[in-house]
Amino acid sequence: MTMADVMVKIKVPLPPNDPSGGEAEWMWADSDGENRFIVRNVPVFAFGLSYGDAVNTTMIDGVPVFANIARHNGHSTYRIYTKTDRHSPEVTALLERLKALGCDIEVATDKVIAVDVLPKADVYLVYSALQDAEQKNIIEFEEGYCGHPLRK
Amino acid sequence: MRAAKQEADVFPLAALCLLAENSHRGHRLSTAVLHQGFAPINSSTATSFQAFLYDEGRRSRSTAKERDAETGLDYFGARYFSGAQGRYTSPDPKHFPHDIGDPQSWNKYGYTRNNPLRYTDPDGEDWRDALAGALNAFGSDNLLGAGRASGGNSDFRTGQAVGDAVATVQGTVETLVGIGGEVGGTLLDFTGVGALVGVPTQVVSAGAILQGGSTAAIAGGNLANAALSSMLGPKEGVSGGPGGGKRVNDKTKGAALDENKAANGGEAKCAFCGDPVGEGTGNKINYDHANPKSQNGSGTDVGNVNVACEYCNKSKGTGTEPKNPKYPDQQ
Repeated sequence: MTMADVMVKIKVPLPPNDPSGGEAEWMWADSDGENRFIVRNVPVFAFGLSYGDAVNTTMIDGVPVFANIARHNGHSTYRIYTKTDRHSPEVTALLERLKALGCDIEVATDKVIAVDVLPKADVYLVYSALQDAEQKNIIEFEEGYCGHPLRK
Repeated sequence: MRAAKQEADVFPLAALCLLAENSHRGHRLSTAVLHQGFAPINSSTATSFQAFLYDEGRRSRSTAKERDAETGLDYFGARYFSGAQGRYTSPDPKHFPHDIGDPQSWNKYGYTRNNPLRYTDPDGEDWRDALAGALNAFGSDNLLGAGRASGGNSDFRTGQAVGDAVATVQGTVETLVGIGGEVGGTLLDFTGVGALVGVPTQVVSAGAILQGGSTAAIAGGNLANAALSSMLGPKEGVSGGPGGGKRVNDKTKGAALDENKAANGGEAKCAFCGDPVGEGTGNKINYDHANPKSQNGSGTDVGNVNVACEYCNKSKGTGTEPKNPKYPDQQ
């Protein structure tokens, strides 16, 4: 059985005139019931969802198209835009630090890296590490979705 | 009588939640309102309150947690809580061992040992975290900061904030008492014979001032750090909306497309058919994740996201190449 036998691709439309220039982001997903899927990529452009979230879709032209969130799963998503080479010691050190803090990394392109903050990780420490790197002018970062419980 | 007992059990937690949640909205509270979230609304609940409680636009419920509109469950982070049943829908993920002599510890589905009067569990995982955090912070503050644990989950840090607050008060009181002792001891010294008592009083008081002052300073500093970190930290929910999280500017956001353009002589092109894509080309850009995260884990050298046209992306589906290439001769 291959990966393609058990997973599907879902289409997540992006807002009109999205600054990324894209119309949609296609991600892998596991089936979770009729027209419901579990996202298996770290979103790079879409906001409001994370790896592991369950989403409802509508079938359009044979493609499951994101409709809404069925259930968040405690993951948070951040996106890193590197200002130096992705393989530079500074960026490498940052990625290692993020992994040590409990993050998974999905390298999107040479300069764009998606960070999946696992539910067990301390999102404040991750955020602090990203802020620190941004202040040192190594990266810029954005918050795709924060699914961790926050301090009140 | 049974209903009255139940009301008494759920009142304090629910009251705290709702007071915190609604005080800024100007809602008037009554005991009827206080049952939402932890227990079902009873039959005597006023109709007007029912309308308020089940307002579709109001998503925040028990202990200010977000209620899933589809399932009716409250999201605590680590797991979901069913207000109708008064229990979590899954066991505590931390799997802490139970005590054979403590039946409440056998129940991994209950909210804080079924005792919301005494304990709190903001993240839905191990209600003991908050208590451990409070004890750690209080003890550490009294030992010049030694042994303070860093990290921990949100409950632990919340507990640490409580411990810091208590230690700040304790240190301040200790300092004030010490100052009083110093003044009293000095006055006794002037009496001559009283110096026998006054001098030891001054020595003890100086120690109290030193201990109390340092404790209050350390604990207060920890509280200030936590508050600052909270202000600078991540924001809840979807980014970019009102009160949402951090975003980058439009130019930075276009980095992936810029990379594609740079690699193709200044024009964005589909990674599969090579056709120009983007504004003015009639080909919409569809970003494609080539592999699932599990197949493209940390530290890979190859980027996982391709710029593609809509046709190729749809034709590609779950494969690595379009199944029906736009230009078969190129294959």
